[in-house]
Amino acid sequence: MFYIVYVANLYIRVTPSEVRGGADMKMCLGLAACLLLLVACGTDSTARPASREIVIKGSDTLLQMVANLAEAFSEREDHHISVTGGGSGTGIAALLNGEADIADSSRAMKAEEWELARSEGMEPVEVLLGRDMLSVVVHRSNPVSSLSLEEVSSIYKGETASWTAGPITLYGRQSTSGTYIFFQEEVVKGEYSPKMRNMEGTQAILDAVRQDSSGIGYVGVGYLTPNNLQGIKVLGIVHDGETYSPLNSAHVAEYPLSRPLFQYLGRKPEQGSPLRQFVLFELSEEGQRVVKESGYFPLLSEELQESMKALS
Amino acid sequence: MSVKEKAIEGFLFGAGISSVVILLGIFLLLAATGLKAFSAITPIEFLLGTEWNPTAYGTPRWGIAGLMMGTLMVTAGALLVALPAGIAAAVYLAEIAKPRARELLKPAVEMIAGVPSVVLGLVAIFFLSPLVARVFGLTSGLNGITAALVVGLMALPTVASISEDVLTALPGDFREASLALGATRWQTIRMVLLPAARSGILAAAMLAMGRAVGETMAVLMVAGNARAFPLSLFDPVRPMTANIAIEIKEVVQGSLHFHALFAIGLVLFLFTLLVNALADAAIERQRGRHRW
Amino acid sequence: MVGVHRAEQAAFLLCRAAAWGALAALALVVMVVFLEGAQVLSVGFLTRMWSHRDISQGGILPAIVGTLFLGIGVTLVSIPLGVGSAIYLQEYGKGHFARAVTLAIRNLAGVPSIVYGIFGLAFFVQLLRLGTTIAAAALTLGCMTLPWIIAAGQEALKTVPDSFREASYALGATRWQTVRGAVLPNAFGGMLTGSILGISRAMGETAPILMVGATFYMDYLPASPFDKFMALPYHLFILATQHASPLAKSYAMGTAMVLILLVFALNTGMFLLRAKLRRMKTW
Repeated sequence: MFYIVYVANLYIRVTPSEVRGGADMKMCLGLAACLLLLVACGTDSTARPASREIVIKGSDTLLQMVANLAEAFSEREDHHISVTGGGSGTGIAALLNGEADIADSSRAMKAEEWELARSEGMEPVEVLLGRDMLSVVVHRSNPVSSLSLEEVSSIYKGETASWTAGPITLYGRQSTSGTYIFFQEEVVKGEYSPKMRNMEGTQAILDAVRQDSSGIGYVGVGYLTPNNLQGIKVLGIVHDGETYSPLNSAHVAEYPLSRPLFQYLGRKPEQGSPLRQFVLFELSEEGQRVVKESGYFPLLSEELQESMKALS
Repeated sequence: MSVKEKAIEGFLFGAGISSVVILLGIFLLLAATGLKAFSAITPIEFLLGTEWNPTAYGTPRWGIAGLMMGTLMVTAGALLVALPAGIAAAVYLAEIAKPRARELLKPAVEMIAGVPSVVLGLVAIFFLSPLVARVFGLTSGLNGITAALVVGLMALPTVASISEDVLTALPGDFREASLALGATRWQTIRMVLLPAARSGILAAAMLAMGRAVGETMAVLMVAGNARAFPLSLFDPVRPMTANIAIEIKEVVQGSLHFHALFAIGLVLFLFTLLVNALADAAIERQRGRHRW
Repeated sequence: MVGVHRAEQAAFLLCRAAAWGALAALALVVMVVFLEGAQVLSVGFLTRMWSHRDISQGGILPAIVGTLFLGIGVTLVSIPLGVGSAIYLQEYGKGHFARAVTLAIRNLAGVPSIVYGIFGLAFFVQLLRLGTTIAAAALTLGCMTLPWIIAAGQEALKTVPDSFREASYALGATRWQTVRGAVLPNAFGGMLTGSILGISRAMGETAPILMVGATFYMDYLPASPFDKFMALPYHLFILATQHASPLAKSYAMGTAMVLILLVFALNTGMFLLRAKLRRMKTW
């Protein structure tokens, strides 16, 4: 299909050698008719995989991981999966609008969202997929190496406005992001400072902090690849006298900003449906291995059991 | 006329009317969806409130003054770049350049308009923004200035192209008479041609302003997008267009936030209608005066 | 007198600087994109499917296909309406109505792309329940491109001398016969080039497809207008702001390079075609 389209495109650009415009017009109309026919054929011949298509939308934090999972899954079974980001809010909105089968979310669905779903006739299923250790990062040259949750909160509220060296530049996500909401509810516990720059995505936060010696940001641990760690410093979080680092997988249960990553389905998937197979794959050993390879942490065993129960 | 003729004319008429239908459709949809927001938000709070925080921890706030200020700042900054440079370039192309240079430059300047805004945004994030930070001694280059520079570059072809058209359309007598009276070329340009072209150039400015106000992608990538009311171009700004682009993805159909975003869209739409009307009036005046 | 001369020299220098400066800015942007993007450009980059876990293994084929399909879709939507409108306005238009339509077209051309985006979202995606598919995106972008197509069509029709029409009427032809036989064949080239220019701009738009459709990862090529799709501008945007791979920036530049090449190729192709058609004209 692609090659035909490509050639057709080239054809349109080729200068006709005939002087008479009439001939050109007929040629082009003929070509247009051929294209239409091809499109129509394409629509028929490739069995439209409507029943085998899975649409996943939502969290930026989960995007890489779920795309990896989708890819791994597609290697075993022939299914069509599309994954898009935009933020947890986007995914949930898409789920509620009927535009997605799965909503990736790095936060739990709010009460209003549950209500809205029910009013649309859905009975959402909550599946836990993996764990994240939300990390606070600063520029490499920043002398600070750990902060308590209260200090981070005060910084993000705008109450603490400068480091010893100069004014703090706050970087955060946008309100579509589950990470934004999670951070607000668990750390800031109030309004974000209006001066915080709402970045488009997690990578944008890392890139910004890397260039800004007085910057601070929060990112999912899956983004802390060796390459991304260049130029930045990951802060330890102090809690009850102990300092925990998100880079230390042993801390996954006690790290104060440890959080589960969710997927929401509109309703329980039918037995044998591709949707159900995909979710089961994600929860399987192989799926959890992909989770780990993506930089996140596999579920704790109780969480795994909860998810399996929700599906059955 | 035969039936066939009538049918064809009918089809063509239908096609012609489609533009009007679409324009009305856009307006009606924006109005129908956007005005619903005012059942919960007062217009005063909307237009004059300085805090926009629909997903607040506490009470949501719906004031778009800060967003409008962001749009205003980026647009003003962009015009500050695009107008002088564009008019100067137009003068060069129309009056000063040798024919060969003109043949090279005119399409080149118009090609700037052909570069997709997302590509300009890409180059701006990675190259312009650190440069701006370094030049102005800021810690971050994601602010109003970077956005204004990028949008200015994007608006420049509009100003240059239209101004150049207006200048070349001025009757040759103007130049000849002026030169005959002993004026230099520059004096001719400055005192005869530019004033004669001023309505047309005003139209170009208006259209460029419309372009700047409507620009989304480039500002989304480099403007910083902080909610705080911007106090200077060095602050991060959050123009209305970027705000819609950011938040529209998370809104559930029918929610107040959804309606509020459409209300912002309505404001943008009405503003560009206004700008276009003014530009049209200016073009008519130019045409009336100088046979353009 | 020397002062006046100096002033003129200075002024001319500034004007020259402005024009060449603009060119330099364009050249700089293109150079940056090409230098960075060339590093990832390869046959594989252009023909492989997007691979997520290791993006060096994959390519942007689905994005290219998606953008091309969008281009076709926009053509199908906006050309019939646009050409029809142009013909109506130029050949049949009467007074007030034609003025109203012209006004509407000029305003449509000025509407910000994001407003088209939310319109498309509310109307095509939600109201008409088309979902976030190629069809919805093509319809939305088609509305956006319509003013440009009409303008191009009108320009092309204006270049056909009235003598052609008059000769045709003198021979007893009806209006449509005149349009079809004498005017259109000669305006066709100009219409074609102008339209393709408009469509190439639509292919570079990101804001509307942000909300009306594009996805970031798909493991299949879209096969019908009701499929999801990937697109070059959206792909580039995500790579620039959200992808964690160390190669993301280069891949973003590579994607940008492909997009620019596509747009520039269409532009220069049309430019050359227009020049050749002009030379072939016998009037």
